[in-house]
Amino acid sequence: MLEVKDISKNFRGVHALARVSASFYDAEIHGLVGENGAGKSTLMKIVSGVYPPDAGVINLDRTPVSFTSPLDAYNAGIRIVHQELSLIRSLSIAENMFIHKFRNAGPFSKVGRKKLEADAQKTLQEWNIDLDASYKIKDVSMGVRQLVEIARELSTGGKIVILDEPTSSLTYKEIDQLFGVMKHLKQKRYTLIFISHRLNEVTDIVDRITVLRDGEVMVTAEKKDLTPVQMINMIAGREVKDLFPKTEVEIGKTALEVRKLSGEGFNCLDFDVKWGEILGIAGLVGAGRSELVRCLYGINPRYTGEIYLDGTKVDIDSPEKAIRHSVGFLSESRGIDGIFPDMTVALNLVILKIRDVIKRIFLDKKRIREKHSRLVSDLNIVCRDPEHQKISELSGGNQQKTLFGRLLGSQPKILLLDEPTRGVDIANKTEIHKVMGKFVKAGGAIIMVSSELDELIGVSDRILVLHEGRHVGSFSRGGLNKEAILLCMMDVKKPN
Amino acid sequence: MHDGREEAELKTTAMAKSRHFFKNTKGLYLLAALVIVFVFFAAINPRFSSVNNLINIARQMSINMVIAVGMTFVIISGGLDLSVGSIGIMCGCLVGVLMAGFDVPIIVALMIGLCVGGVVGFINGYVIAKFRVPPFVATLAMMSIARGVAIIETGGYIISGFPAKFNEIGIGFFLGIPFPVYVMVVVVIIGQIILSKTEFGLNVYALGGNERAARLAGLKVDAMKLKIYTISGVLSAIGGILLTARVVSAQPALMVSTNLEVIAAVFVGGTRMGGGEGGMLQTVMGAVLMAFLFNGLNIIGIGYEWQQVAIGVILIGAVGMDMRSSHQSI
Repeated sequence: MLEVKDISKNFRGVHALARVSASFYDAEIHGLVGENGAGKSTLMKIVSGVYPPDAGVINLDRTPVSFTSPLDAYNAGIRIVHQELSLIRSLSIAENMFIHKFRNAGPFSKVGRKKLEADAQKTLQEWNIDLDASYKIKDVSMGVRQLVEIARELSTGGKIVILDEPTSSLTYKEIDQLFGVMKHLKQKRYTLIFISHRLNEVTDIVDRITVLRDGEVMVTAEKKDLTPVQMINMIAGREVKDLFPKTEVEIGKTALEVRKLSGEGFNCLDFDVKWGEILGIAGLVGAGRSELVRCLYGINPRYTGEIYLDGTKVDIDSPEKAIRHSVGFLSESRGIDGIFPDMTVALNLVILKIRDVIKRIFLDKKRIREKHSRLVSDLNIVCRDPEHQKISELSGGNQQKTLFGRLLGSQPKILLLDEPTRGVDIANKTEIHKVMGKFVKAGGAIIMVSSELDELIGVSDRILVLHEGRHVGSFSRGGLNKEAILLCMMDVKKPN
Repeated sequence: MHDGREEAELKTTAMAKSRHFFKNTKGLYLLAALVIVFVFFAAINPRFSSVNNLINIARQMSINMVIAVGMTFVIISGGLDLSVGSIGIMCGCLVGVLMAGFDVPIIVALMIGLCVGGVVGFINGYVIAKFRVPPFVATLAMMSIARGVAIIETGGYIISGFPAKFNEIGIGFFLGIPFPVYVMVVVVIIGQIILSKTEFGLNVYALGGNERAARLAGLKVDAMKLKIYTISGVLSAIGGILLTARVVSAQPALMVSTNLEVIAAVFVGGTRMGGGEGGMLQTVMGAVLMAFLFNGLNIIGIGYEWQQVAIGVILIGAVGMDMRSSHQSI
């Protein structure tokens, strides 16, 4: 059993954690929820020895421990499985699972691949995963990778495993698989701490829940004693009446129309989106959703088909052209495709359509300041000093809002949003949805891809369902039914 | 009252700015290192701090500094250019051969030399942008090619007999200061303005910071690479021509280690390998530090071999400190 008692932590005078107490039992799946910046990561970093606490104690099996380094926590059996996986892509499942065995290997030691693969295979079987342990990591799905990572932590003596947003890049099937393994591990008396923004998942799998807000524990309770609405209110610190506020907007003429469009990952799609409308794209991972919006933005090549903007045929084959046609794009991977980590928040905001803040050939400081301060306040970006603070110092939600601000600052007419709220906490999520509502109210049009069905249903006017690159269904607002969409995404109902 | 407040505001932003500069660039450490090195050599041999010697140092560093301006663009954009020395001497030799062997007028020869430098740099950029050859490999290849061409141009001989006016570019003085120093100052100022004040400069940082994001933000990444390596080529040519005039002869075996010296100056200045961060003023400080060392060690009678050792130690020290202070724990 892991127990934290009265843990406090300050960073430069700002309290990140204030007298936090919680206990994580053996044979328990414990949900840890809270907004970005509520202190979840700080608490987990203290538990895993990255930071020392300013005050308070950590008890492991009722004995006080003090970790002076991550290695101490590691040796005590505490492990974190991160969102960014630390597997070696060119090695097999088995080799990754038992990589610690190579730690002291000399250049001529025998690896004993057969034995490793047999052991790994046994674990996979126990976990009900039908896969050959000799497969290379790069050839298996994200879900399996996550499981391999967990298996590795357990094989090196991990007893308390912290799963940090493990489901954010998994498909529904993979999430089921992961939850199956988690339940299995619970039976084997491991302690699992599950951090997630997706409350419905948390309530699916956990036994108890701890809610953090502003560095304090709001509640620790059995799952059954807490309704989702109560939970959300505690997380947000206020009454959230409507999780997905939908702005009512008059729908106008056709903004963008696609005819017989084929590209990498999708085939022969026909659809349109109207001014004032938010078109949601649903589908499983691999359905061709991201590929579709990336193609519309000119990143991925278009094989056949035509795209019409406002009735005029356009030939968008590069992001630069898309921008010229007032089409904006937000990528699903904020870190890889979005932010310029070394640049300030201000420059990150103005870099798209930089021409707006150029006088002759020089950057115009005044115009930059006008533009970024307008965007910072419009989007409610929380930062100390946009002109000197690097964007990488902001929280995930604020980085995302900055990217949104960058997009809106370029005054686009059509937005292509790929997972616009992935990894964003609830309050910021709602704010982003509001900004989207404002955008379409002002006459814009949005195509949004999301893996979160609740979000799609809450925000979209219409939903287009893709399955393996084909258009398999459409749903309009009013007829948005979660079950039906899910079945459609899995292409179960269609006999064909 | 209004003025007062504005003034106070200006003051605080200026303070914030200078704090920012020192905080982010380790400029303070570098400045301290410069002062220490200066005082050290001046204490051992007062001749080091004489005006004459300082002018001498400025001249000694001028050629590498001109090339380092281009290299700063290249490295901040996430690239690397190993071919600068070879391109430089290739263009220097070309200009020399054109004048000595073909009686081409100075101005025309200079123009041809600069253009060839630009074209070769453009080819570097083209290979890197269009064929996706890593900069290290592309410019390593060009380093070899350009060196070969330099030897072919001169037939492997040292060629001299240039018009006296041309030699003035390298050995002449104006108002008591060597001509190459003027060239250096002009190039540095233009480079600094472009890098810190223009759209192009900002885009260079963006490109080095996150190339994928730069593409998605509509930056013409390929065109930028072409421009950046072309700039580096032209500045290399300027360096090579200055050197050719300085030694009053076309010598294809010169500038063999220029690339490493220049890259070292940029790194010592605190510009980060991999791009996204850095600046022209930092490169200047890095180059000055290296020039102090070369010259100072010479003056106190320590030979070339130890100078090489010192440069290596400084490079590890500077970059190591930089990495430690911005260290990422895993």
